[in-house]
Amino acid sequence: MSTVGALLLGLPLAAATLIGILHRRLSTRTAGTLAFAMAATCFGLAVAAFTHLRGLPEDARHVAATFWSFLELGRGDAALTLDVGVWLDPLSVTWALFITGVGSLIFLYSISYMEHEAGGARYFACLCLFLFSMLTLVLGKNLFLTFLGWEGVGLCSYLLIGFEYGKETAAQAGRKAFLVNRIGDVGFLLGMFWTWKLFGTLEHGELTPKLAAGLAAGIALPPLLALCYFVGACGKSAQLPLFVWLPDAMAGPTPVSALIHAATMVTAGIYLLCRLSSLFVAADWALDVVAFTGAATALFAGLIALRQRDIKRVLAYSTVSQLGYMFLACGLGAFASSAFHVVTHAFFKALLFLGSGAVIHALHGEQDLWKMGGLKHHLPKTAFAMRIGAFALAGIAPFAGFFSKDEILGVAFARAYAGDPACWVLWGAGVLTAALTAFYSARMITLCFDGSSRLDAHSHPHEAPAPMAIPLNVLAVLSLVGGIGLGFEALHWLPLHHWLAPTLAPLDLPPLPGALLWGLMTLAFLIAVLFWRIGAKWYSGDCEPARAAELTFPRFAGALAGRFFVDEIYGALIVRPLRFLAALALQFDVRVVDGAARGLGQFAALVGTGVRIVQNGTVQRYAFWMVAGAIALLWLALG
Amino acid sequence: MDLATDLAATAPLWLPMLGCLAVLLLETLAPGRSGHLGALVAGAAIALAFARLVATAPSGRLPFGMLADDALGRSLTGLLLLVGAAVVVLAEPLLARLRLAHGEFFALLLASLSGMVLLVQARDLMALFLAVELLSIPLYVLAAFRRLSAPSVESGFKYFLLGAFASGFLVYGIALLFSTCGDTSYAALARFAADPARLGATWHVGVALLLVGLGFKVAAAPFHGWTPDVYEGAPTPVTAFMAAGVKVAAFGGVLRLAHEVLPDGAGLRAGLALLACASMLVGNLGALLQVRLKRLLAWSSIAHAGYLLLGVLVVVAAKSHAGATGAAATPLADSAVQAVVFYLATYALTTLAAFGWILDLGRESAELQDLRALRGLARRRPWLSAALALCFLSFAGVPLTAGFLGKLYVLKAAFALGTELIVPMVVLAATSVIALGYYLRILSTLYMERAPDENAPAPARLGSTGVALLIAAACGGVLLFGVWPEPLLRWLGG
Repeated sequence: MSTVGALLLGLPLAAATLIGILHRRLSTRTAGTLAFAMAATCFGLAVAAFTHLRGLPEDARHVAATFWSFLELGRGDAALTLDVGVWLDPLSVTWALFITGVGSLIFLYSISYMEHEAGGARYFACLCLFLFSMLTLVLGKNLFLTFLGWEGVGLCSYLLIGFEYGKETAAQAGRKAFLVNRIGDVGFLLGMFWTWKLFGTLEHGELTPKLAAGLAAGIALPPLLALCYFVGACGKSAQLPLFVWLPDAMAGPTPVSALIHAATMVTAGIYLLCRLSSLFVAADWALDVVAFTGAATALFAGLIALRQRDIKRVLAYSTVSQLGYMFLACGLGAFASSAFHVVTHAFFKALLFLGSGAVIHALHGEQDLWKMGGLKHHLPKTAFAMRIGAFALAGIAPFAGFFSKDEILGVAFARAYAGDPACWVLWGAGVLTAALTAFYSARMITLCFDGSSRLDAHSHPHEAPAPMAIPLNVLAVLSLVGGIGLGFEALHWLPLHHWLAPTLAPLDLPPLPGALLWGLMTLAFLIAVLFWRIGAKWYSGDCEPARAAELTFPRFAGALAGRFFVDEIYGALIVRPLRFLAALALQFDVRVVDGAARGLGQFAALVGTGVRIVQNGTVQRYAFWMVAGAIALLWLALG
Repeated sequence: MDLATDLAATAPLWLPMLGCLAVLLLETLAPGRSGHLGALVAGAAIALAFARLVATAPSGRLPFGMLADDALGRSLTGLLLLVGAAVVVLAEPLLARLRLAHGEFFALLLASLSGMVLLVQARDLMALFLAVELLSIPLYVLAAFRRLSAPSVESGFKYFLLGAFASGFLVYGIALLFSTCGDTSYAALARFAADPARLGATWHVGVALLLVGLGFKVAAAPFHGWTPDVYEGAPTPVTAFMAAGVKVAAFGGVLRLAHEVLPDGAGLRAGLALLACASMLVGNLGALLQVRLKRLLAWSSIAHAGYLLLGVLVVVAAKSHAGATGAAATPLADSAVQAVVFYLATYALTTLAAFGWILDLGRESAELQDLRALRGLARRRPWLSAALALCFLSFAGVPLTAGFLGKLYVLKAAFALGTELIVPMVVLAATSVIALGYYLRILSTLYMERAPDENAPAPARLGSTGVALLIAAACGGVLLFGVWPEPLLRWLGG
């Protein structure tokens, strides 16, 4: 199995290096084919790892492979050994499976999508590097490697958002993503140092047992430690208040949005929470913070998504909102449900992004929903696939998102039912978000595909070529069966949960009675369908009801369209004070530091003169210093 | 003594010498046409020597009663042979360009190389002295090889004068040690030194003078005065040979002395600490104001000598730790030796890449010596700029480069002794920060500043595939060993 692990990391790295070195000489098609072949091979390897683990007894389902030791520091209790290696267990393999699976579909899609762009080979080099970093993050055998991968995906995200670096918005969005993520990374780093200090290990395989032993011995786990990791996860997974970079990240090419900013990288935060689930469960009130942040983010982003004009921004905010659901699930202790939603979300959100990419491709770069309409006549296949994705997102049975989302709402309800009143709030927020989700999904589909065309007269949209259509179809099938295939709580069919059970902290909650489960499911289904219908009705035709609503609540509508002015608030609260501080610092710099620097410069000139006196090129002078050194050595030797 | 066995064991030593004679013979038989041929013969001799080295295992015997055939000697010999081969690759295109394609260059190179190999294998003070001279004399000539260029001739002459001066210290130190001990072999010296009561003033003075002589060769302050002038004036491949080869060889000699002969003592500790701290401070402060690339690397090489001397100091100091008796080696000392050898390997690798870079872009012309000529180079020569940036990050000891691990291992070895060596350790940390000042300045010159004329054609390169491949390979090594040190550690560990 260690060979499989080595290849899973080695192949993407090799492909990235090869394409990176030759990027000026390779055509987009060659580079893309190479990258796709590599990604597909990686998927095969991940499947091999999966079957191998399946063959092992349930409590021994992990394989550790150490390739080499990077660092060995300290001795005894304070020893820190950082090995380079992989840790294959159900959790990491699950992530690896959908990363490589969805990843290879998106690689295939990109070959056509990027064909007419300049620098296509550079794009694929970055994509391969991303796959390498993401797999390092997931498969690395200790937190140190996870962190390296974490930084690596951040770097690739920066490079790919700013792929068209000539465009000022793209370059700025890249910088924003990079800077906001740094805040999260500080949290991760601090958490790592603290973990090592408390438990003396960073290995994934050793942390849980050591934690259990430490708790048994009476070590109190500081909730702040868990919060450090949570801050890291918030940055990467775009939670309140660090979500602002993700909508801007849509400046990157659409397949990048699908792969990095929807299906894989943004779920790294959830991976970290799941990986450290035992730590979070033991850390007292930390999980409550996670749950409330998740619920608030879900609701907040869901509201903003209601009135975005840009199709990719709608999807971006819906991603933030769905990530909020996943955090909510983690916060409720239902880590398996969270992972379930990660997987189904990867399917349907990748589908939606790729579908929107096909639309944008067909309209030669148009992203404004108000300039679309009636596209189902021009792009029937894309419209069909997008509709499936939107149903899944809206949580309409039997599409994938329904089962995973319903499970999360079910857990929130069960917690409240078991006597935790605060959970009613969480459940309420979740249900409200579900209604919003159905509404804006319907709005997006209606505005884009139904009604009459608002296109430019000379625009002739055409269906995407086969390499773009195949991934759409595969993802559409997965969005249809991916939910019911992986878990249906009311029927006690929970294969994914059983598979993940050995690696996650168990959910300490009595199951709800069967009738209540069915009742909740019906309720969720009805809400989704109802709000889908409302959304579709409001935005069909001349959108009369929607306009009426906007006129009735102009300020709320304005706040929604203005994304609650979060960027402006950041501007006022953080950027402007920082600018002010910078201006102050500049004054300080000009008046005080420069003065000191001039003084220092004179000092440096003095030192320089001194050096010149010593280092004046005269051999005698050098010899003099040698003799002086020799005398000093003799004096020390005899003294 | 079986002559055949001894000869077989010392093949890496005499094969370059044989190559030297062959090149000289060629030069006599075909005067003026031996340039390329000389390079070929030199390459072949080094390759043969390397093959012999790899094919046989260290026997642990003492060939000719004066040499060592052990793991340390072999790993350093291998390193030196690689450096020699790299210098051949660097020198060949430049000599052709300067119309100096004479065979003597390679003959001198090979002679100096065999001196270096002898130095890391010497286990007798006589062999040590012989090695130092065999290494140095051809190098004086090589430094002045551009005999029509005044800086080159000045460089060779200065190096010669000061080198002769330093040799005087060395040979006098050897004489004193012989007079007090009655023998010059390391084994006998170690036996003598095992009893501290016997170590009188003569011994201590002898050791101090030895340190002066060897300190000159490793370019430790205050014996460093020649370094900037000579590095700058000598042809770039020769500078690379000095910076990488001489450093490895001389530290190999110092390391073996420290490990096998010198007993721990307050005086020796103080002396080594003085040299280490002075080198770190003088080297880094001197580099801070430099605007010329070769001089900057010269000062930085002085600073690196200081870091390495801390490693040597640990080797000496580790002898009085847990379970040690007299001059016997301890695991701590062994790990310190490992650290220094690893540092040397990473330093040699990075140095070769950096000087290869200067050669490739500067083509031995003066104008690119000025750092200002490198402004905004990253836009026009992205790969080359990345290579130089990587070298400087490694010199600075930034993680994920080999230089980081080198520095880390030395510090780790020092930490194992607790706080005994706290002063040089603090100096190392502080001067590493100063060093960032000038290393990052070059990165900012390359990447952040704009060229005065954006439309000017990118600076021309030397156009030698060999040099380009060498830079690529060395940079690859710096990166690879920075994340995966194990193969290098294993190879260096014997």
